[in-house]
Amino acid sequence: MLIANNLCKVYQLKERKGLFGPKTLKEIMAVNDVSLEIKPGQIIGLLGINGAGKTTTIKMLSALLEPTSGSFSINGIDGIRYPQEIKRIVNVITGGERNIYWRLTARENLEYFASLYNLPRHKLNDSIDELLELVDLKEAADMPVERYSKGMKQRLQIARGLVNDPKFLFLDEPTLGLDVAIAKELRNHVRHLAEKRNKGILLTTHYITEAEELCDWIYVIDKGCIIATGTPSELAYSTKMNTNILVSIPELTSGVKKEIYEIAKVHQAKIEFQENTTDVSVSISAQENLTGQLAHILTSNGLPILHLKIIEPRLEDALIQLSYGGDSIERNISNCESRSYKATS
Amino acid sequence: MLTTMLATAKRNYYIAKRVFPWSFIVQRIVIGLYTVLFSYFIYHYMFRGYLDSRFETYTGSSDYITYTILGVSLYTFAVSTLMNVGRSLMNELREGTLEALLLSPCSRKGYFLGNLIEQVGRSFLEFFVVLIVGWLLGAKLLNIKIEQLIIVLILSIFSFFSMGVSLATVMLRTRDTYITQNTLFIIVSLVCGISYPIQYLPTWLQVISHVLPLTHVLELFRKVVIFGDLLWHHWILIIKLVALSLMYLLFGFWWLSRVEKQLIEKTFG
Repeated sequence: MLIANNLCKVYQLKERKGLFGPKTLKEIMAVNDVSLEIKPGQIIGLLGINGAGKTTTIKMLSALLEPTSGSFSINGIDGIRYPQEIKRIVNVITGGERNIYWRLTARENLEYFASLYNLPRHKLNDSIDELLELVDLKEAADMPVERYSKGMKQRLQIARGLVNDPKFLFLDEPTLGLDVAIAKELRNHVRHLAEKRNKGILLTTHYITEAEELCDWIYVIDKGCIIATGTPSELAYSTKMNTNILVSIPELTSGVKKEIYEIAKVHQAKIEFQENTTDVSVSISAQENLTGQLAHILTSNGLPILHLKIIEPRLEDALIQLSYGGDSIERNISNCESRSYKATS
Repeated sequence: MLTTMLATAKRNYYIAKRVFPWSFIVQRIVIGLYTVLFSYFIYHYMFRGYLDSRFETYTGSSDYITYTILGVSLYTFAVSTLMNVGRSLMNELREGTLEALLLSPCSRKGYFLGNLIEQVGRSFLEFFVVLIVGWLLGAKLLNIKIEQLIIVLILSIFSFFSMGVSLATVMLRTRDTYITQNTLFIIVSLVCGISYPIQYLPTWLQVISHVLPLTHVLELFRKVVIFGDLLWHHWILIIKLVALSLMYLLFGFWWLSRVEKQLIEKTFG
C-alpha cells in the first residue's frame, strides 16, 4: 500500500531584477500538505488544472524528487530514506513520445530498461515477450521505434513502465495527444493492469471522462492542496450542482402546475414552463433529483410523458467549480486544512 | 553497476550500428590531420627546420615532428573520449530519455563506463590514424615499448574518463554542449603542450596546464615513446596524474548528484 502523509514541496526560484540587479529568492509552494493512499488494484485519480501540483506529487512518490517535508511509504518502505528501493517497485508512464530510444527496436528498448533495474538475465527474455504481447507489439518488436506510429510508441511506453513489474504505477497524462481509438485501447490496458495484475495506479489526466471511466477514487488538487476527495460521482454531486430535468407533456392543467410549484418550493428548485404548439415543456433544476416526484405527479394526473431528459451534475463541472471558484469552496484562504473538502455520498 | 555498464555499452553499439557517427569520426581525424600538417608545414617551410634552443631544453629532444604528432594523436584520443562520455547525459536530455534513466535505480558509474567502453575502439581508430599519418610525415615511432604504451593508454583512458564525467555534469548544468565542449577543447589544445612545451606559456597559464590531466598524460606518453623510458622511472608523475584524475572523477559524481536534483525540479513537467 502507498501512504503519503502531509507531503510538501517548496521550489526556490532565483530571480534577478534587470540585467545586473540583485538576485531575490522566491519560494513557490508546489505541493502543500498532500496526503493520499493507494491500495493495490486501485486506480486513483489526481485531478487539477495545469500547475496544480500533480506532476510534482508524482515526482516525489516516484523518489525522483525529495519532499521539503512530509513522508511517504510504499509497502512499508520509507520513501525518503530508501529512494533506490522505491525506484525498484514503482514506475512512471508519461504522455507523449519521450522516454524511449527511437533508434532502438522495442525489444532492445525493453532489454535496456530491464537491465537498468538489474533484472536477472534468464527472466528477461520471457518477461519482455510477455510485455510485448500485452501491449500488442510482438509483430513490430524488432522494428526501430522511429518507424512506429504515435499509438505504438505510447504502447511501448506502457511496456517500459511495466518492465520492472512495479507494484505501483504513476500515469502522468498517458493519453495526451492520442486519438480516440488509441486512448480507449490504452484505458483498457490500464484497467487490465489494476484488475488483473493488482497494480496500484495513480492517474493524472485532463480528460475528465477518462477519470470518470477509470478511477475508483479521486483527489482534486489545486495550488498544491488537496481540495476535494471522493468517488467520481460523489465529487460530481459534492459541489451542490443542480440536476436538471426536462420533461414534455401534451398539456398542463392548473392543478398539475400547482403541484409542481409545491415540490419546487420545498426543494428550492428553479422551474420553467414553456408552451409549444404541440406540447408543454417543463424544466426543473434542483440539487436533488426530483424525477421520481415529478413523474408521480404527472402519471397520477393521467398525463403521459412524451419526452424526458435528466442532466445530472458532471465531474467536469464540479472540477471547474472547485478549481476556478464556486460557492461551496472558500477561495480566499491560505491554508489547505480549511480548504479541504471531503465528499460524502 | 556491471549490468548497467554492459547494457549501456550494448545499447550504444546498437545505436551506432544503425546511425554510425561517421561524421564525428571523420571530423576528429581531419582536425587531427590538419593540426599535424599545420605543424609540419610551419616547421619545414616557415622555420626551415630551425628550432628555438629552448625547445630542446624544455623537452630534452630536438625532434619536433615526433613531439607534435604524439601531442596531436593523444589530443584526438582525448577529444573523442571526452565528447562521447561528456555528451552522454545531455544527449539523453535532448532525446527525452533522461527522465526514464533517472527513474531507474541504475548506477551512474555503470552508465558512464558503458558509454566509455562502447566508444573506446573508435577512439583508438582515430588515435592510430593520426599516428600512422604522423609516421608517414617523419615521426619516429618504431622504438615504442608496447607494454609501456598500453599502460600509458590505460592511464589516458582513466584520466579522460574522469574529465568526461565532470564535463557531462557541466554540460547538464549549463544545458549546452557546443560552447562548453569547444571552449574546453580550445583551452586544452592551447595549454596542455600539444604542439609546443607548456614552458613557453606565461606562468599563470602554466597553472591551468597543470590542473588538466592531459598535460601529464602527454608528458608520460612522450617519455615512453621518444626516450623509451620505463614508466616506473616516472612514478611521481603517474601518482600526480592518478590523483588529479580521481579529483575530477569524484568532483564530477558529487556535482552530478546535485545537478540531477536541480534538473528534476526544473524539467520533466
